[in-house]
Amino acid sequence: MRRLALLLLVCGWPAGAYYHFVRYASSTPPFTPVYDRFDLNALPGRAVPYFIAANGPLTLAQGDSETAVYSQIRAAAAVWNSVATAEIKLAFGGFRSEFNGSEAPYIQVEFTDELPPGVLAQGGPVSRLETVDSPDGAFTPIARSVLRLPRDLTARPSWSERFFLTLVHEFGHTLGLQHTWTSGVMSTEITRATTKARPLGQDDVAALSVLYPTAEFRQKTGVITGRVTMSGQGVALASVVALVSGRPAVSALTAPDGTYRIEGLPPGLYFVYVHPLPPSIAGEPQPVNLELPATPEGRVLPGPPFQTVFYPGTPGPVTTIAVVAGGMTAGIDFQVTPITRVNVHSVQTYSFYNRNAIKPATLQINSDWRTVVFTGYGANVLSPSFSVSLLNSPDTIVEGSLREYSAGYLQANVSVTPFSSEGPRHLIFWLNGETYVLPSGVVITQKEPPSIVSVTPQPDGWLLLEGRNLERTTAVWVDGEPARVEFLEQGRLRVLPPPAPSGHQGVLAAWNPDGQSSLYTHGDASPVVSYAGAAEPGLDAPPIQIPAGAEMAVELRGTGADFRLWTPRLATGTSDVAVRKVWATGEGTAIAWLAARPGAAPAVAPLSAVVGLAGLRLPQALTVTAPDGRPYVEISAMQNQYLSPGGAATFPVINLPFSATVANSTATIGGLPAAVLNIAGSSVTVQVPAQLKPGAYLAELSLGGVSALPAVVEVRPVPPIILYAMKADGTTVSPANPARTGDVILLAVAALGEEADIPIDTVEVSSPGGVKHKVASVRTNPREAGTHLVEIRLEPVDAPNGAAPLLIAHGEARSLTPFLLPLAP
Amino acid sequence: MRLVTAICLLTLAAAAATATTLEKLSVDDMVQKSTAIVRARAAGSSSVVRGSMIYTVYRLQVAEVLKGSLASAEVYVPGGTYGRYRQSVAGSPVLEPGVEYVLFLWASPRGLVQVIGLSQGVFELKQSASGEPVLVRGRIEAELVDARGRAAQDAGLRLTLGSLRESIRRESLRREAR
Repeated sequence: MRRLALLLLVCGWPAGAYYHFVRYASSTPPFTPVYDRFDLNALPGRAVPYFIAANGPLTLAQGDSETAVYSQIRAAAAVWNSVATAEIKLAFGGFRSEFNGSEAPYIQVEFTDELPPGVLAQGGPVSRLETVDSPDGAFTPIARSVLRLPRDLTARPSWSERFFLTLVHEFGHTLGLQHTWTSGVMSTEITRATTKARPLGQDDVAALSVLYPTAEFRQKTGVITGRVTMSGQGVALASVVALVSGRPAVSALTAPDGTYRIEGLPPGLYFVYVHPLPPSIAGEPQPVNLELPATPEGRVLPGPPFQTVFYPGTPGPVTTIAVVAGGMTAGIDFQVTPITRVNVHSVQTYSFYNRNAIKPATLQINSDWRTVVFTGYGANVLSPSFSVSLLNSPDTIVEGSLREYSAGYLQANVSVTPFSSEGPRHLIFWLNGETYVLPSGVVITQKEPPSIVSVTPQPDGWLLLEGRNLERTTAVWVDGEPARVEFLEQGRLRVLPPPAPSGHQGVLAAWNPDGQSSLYTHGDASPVVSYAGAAEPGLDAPPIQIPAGAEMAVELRGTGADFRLWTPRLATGTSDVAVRKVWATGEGTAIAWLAARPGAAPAVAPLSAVVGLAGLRLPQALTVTAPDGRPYVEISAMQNQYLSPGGAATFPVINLPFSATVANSTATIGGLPAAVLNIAGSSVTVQVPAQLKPGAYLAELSLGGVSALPAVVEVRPVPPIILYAMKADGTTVSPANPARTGDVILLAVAALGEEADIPIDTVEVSSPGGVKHKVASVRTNPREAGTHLVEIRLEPVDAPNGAAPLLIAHGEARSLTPFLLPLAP
Repeated sequence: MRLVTAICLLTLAAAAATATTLEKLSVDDMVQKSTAIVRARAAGSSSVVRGSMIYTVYRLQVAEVLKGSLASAEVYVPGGTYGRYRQSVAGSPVLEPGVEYVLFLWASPRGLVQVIGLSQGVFELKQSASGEPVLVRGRIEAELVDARGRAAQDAGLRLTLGSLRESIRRESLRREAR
């Protein structure tokens, strides 16, 4: 705490973290990093499309298929979309192999026979040379990125953990991330400790969020800064790591002057240590496994090797550093001592389950078999000067258990306390006084991995899965697509596989939130779902013409899959047109919302779609045209409108004809006539037909005889209204009879729903500031037909002017204006 | 059980990975899989775009062809700067002018000549203390320890030019025997 400096974080960072592709604008301090990253403002929908160049047959492992490979690519890309504190999102752009270079940025995924032996995959950005300024700092924009895979994938079956994590890792490179040494997915396979069921570490989350921060990122997480010096001189490219037992580590590399900045730390107490980058091992680039940063004077080389040391200069973890949300803990400096070479590094750990090697070592709290096997540089032979321990954990390495496993491998037993919690444990290796920390070298879980003992087809097309550790939280995937899961009881799940091409064979895997999957248990012998005789998913889209800068909606029709369960994904084949959203509107119908980039060049692109596992190349094309003056609705500007049956919808229209009047304009929503109520400025107000049910509908406007591009509106339920409030004694709450904090209050609510019995967990009563009032019951109101009584306990709440604002929501329906409940001071 | 698990381990450990995900190749692997092995110096470089990639093309002054043949004295290294663009491929080697290398090369089916395994196939040629030419790859020769925890050298990653010639000869005999 003594060095805790709470500072409000502002934009414009000093020199700091480095696990990206970095240039420095100057050769002298301050070293402000200039990152390679995508310019989200250049992307329609702020999402980067990736195109899969399905250009020719692949050579695959037995039982594998191109359908499965492509689905794993999509699943790996989607992993990065789970980073809530990063604004960037990836979107499937379609199957495409021809590029002309004049589009918005994108990612190419291609299969090639030009990867030389020894190269299994390759990913990275192609950036413009010029620097662009932004509120988040200067950057060099990525024009496109490339992810290359070999055509021959026999060595890495698509269902394997390794293939999937390789894809996630390479997608990370395409987004602008480089390697770290803290066992996240951006670590190399040697020390990587993430799994298919839990593919990202906190370090990966921080890395992406530093490049593409949301507004919340720096509010929710904290920062540690400092400097690493040797004999008074800054040490470049030293890795500074913050970690605590039970959580994955987060790290940063030092700038040329030794300064560093670790961002993205969840609040808490951390040990902080600094270590030199390990020298490259066989099969890695030289001198370290990075594309080195550069100043105007050339590449920045890592400083000399030094002894790993914990803050404040101890050989092991002694002192913790406090990190608070939105704060910065500064001055965490290190003076390091040179050594001639780094002798212990790059250690990988294993455990065993069902004769399968599991990496990293994963141990169960209640298991009798808790042995960690490991190997690495300096950690592959027994010697009196070699030892290993767990970093600040209640669990320990059993004294005297360190022994040889087989040539080049060692093993040790781990003692796990009954009170131990799940999560990663960090290993510390000691060799001749030298320290090496392996973050997440051991993972502790409560239970064994899930296993699937039997798969029984059901008459309704679902599957009954029986096995061990199949739980309420278990996810089930077929290849790279999640199945629908119903939990029956412990060890029994009902599963509806996603649609797939007829004849497809999909690998079934169960994933648990602890990071383990049934692949641990079954490996390559995992159960398979056969789609022999299954209906072939298909999708039809109309030929699409969209002017540059415009938004529009198109209706999709399909067969062979229930879109209400499996919403289709449309892909435009160009980075200049984004699919913002697709709504399933019926069993075989959907509506897609498209947005074209202003300035997009005229082009024709191939349309693709995904329905479940089926990747479909559509015969229709999308044509981008020059702006033609045709009216279109700014659909993106309507998203905050709450549209309900019978209510008004205001359409912001671009290119609204001057001649358009209420009298000469018409509208339909969902094919039903919708009265045009008003035209003012660039807005057209229309009445939503009262007979529409909640859902998405195509909206078609004819304005002064000119048809606008089709738009889409999402109709929600009629908003519930709180009519009045009563106390428990039946008296009406009023200024003369105000409510008090803690009172039981009955709210009389109209339009809460048509059903008599409304489950209380579907109703929420709240006040501004995130205050939620516990709902105790919901029942029909005997006094007034069609209304409900909602019983709440009133929480403490701000009551400006003596009234507490209350809002009520039921499912998607929510009240639009607060009810003001008189409250006693 | 123990035998099975040991085999699993070795399978996993065989594939090291890097930025570009790489598979660790032994010298014998590289001798076998290369289409040409040359002693050469980089005589200059330029950049080209081929498909999705920017390549840095090094022109080679070839002093000796140790294996195979080279259609042209050029090697393509992925990544580089072309026009207004820079492609970053972590793991790509930089061939310094004036330095003598032994390069393990591989020609793709369409004739693109690259270094095997990116920087794995790049060795500097140096003189040992006894004056013998040795192949050295980066700092790797000084990273290992022996059973007593003392520094050791990895013979598989530092070899003499003579032993490389012998490996190439053995590989050639094996190929002829097949």
